[in-house]
Amino acid sequence: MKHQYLLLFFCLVGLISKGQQNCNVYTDSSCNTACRLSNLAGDFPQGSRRCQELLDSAIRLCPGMADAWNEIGVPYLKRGDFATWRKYVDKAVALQPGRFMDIRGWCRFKFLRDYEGALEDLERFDSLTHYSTKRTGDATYSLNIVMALCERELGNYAGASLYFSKGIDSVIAARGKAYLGQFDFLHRAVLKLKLQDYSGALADLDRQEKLNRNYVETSYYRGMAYRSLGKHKLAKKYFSHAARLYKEGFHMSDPYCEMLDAVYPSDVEEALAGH
Amino acid sequence: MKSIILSLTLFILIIPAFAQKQAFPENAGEILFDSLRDDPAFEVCNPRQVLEYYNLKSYYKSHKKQIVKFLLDNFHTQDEFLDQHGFLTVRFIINCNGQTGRFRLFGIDGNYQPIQFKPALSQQLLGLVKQLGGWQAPVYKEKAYDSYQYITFHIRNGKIISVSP
Repeated sequence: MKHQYLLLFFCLVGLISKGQQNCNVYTDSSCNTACRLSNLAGDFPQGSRRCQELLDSAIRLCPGMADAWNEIGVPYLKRGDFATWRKYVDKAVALQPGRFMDIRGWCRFKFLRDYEGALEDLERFDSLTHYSTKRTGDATYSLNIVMALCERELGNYAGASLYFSKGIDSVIAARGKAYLGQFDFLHRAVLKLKLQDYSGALADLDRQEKLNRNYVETSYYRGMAYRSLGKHKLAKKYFSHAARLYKEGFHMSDPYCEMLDAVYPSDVEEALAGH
Repeated sequence: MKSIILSLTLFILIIPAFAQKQAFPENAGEILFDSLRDDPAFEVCNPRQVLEYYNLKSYYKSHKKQIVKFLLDNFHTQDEFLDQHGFLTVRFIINCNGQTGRFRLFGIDGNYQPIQFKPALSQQLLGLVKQLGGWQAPVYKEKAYDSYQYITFHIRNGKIISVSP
C-alpha cells in the first residue's frame, strides 16, 4: 500500500506540475505573454485540452519558446504516440540543442528502448556541451550511465565498460559517491556477469548494497554470480534472501517503464527451483 | 490578486484567438468509440475518467514478463516481413472490469515518421494483444478504474527485438 501511495504521488506530481519559468527574462512582449500562458498551462492536468491549448497559444505567440514545444509533446510520449511527440520535441531540440537533445535521447532510451537513437542523441549532446555531467530528467541516471546501458544492450561491452567507468569511477574521483546514481553499480555488475567477471560483479554488488540496502535485484544478481562460480550454497542463500526482499524490502521500479535489470518474482522462483 | 486578474485576462482574451487554429481532444491520446471498428459490447465504466497506466499500479507493469513471453511465443515472422522495421504501438483501454477494447495502431519508422506496417504483421500483433487475458483494472481506495495501456513492439527485419514500456 505504501508503494501505491508513493506511486500515486509521483504520478500526480508528474501530471500536474511543471517548472514555472521566470517570465521577466523575456523582454519581447509576445514572448513575455507566451511565457505567462505556458506557466498557466501548469495549472491544468498534463495533456488536458486546456493545458494543450495554452501551450499551443504560447508557441504561436512566441515560436522560439523551446520549453513550450517540449512541454506540449510530453503527454504524447507518455501515451505511446511517438510520432507526435517527435514532431514537438524536435522543434525544442532545433531551438535549444544544449537543453533538449539529452532529453530526447533519454526518452528514446527509456520509452522505446531505441538504443541506437538514444546513443546518437546523447553522444551529440556530449560533444555539444563539452561533456557536461547532466542527469536524466527523472534524476535516476547520469547520461554516461544511460550511454553505458545503451552500449551494453547493443552488445558493445567494451563501449559499455568505458561509459560505466566515466559514469562511476570518474564521478567518484571528481565529486564523490554522493553524486552516483541509485543503480549504477548494479547495472555495471550485470555487465560484468555478461563478461563472466564474477568477482568483479560481486565487488560492484557489495558497493551497490552499501549505497542502497535491501533491493531484490542486488541479492538476486549476487546469487547469479555465486551460482556461476559453482558456490551453490551461497547462491541459494542469496536467492532465498531475494525472495524475502519482495515482501520486506524494495525492488527496482519506475512509474512509466520497466527498468533494465529489474527482477520479477518468477525469476527468483526459477533460480530457487534450479537448486 | 494582480496576477490572478492578469491570468484570467490572458486566458479569456488570448486562448480563443489562438486555440481555434488547432483542435485538441479533451485529453491527449484519448480513444473515443468508433462504431466502424469498435466492439459495441465493450463498455467503459466511466468515460469521463479514464486513467493512464502510469497513474496507479498497473497490471502490465507487474506482469510484463509473462505478457512478453506470450507475445514472443505466439508471434510468427514470415519471409515477407523481412523489410519491416520500426515501432508498432497498440493502444487500448482496460475497463474497470478488466476487459479490453478500443484498440488503435500506430506505426513509425526509425526516424519516428508515421508508416503503415504490412497488414499481415500489424494484424497478427494486434490479434495477439487482443488475446491477452487476465487484465486487472487499477484500484485506488477499493474502487476500480478504467485505464489506457499501450504496448510498443520494436521491429527489425520483421522480428520483435524489444517490447516496451
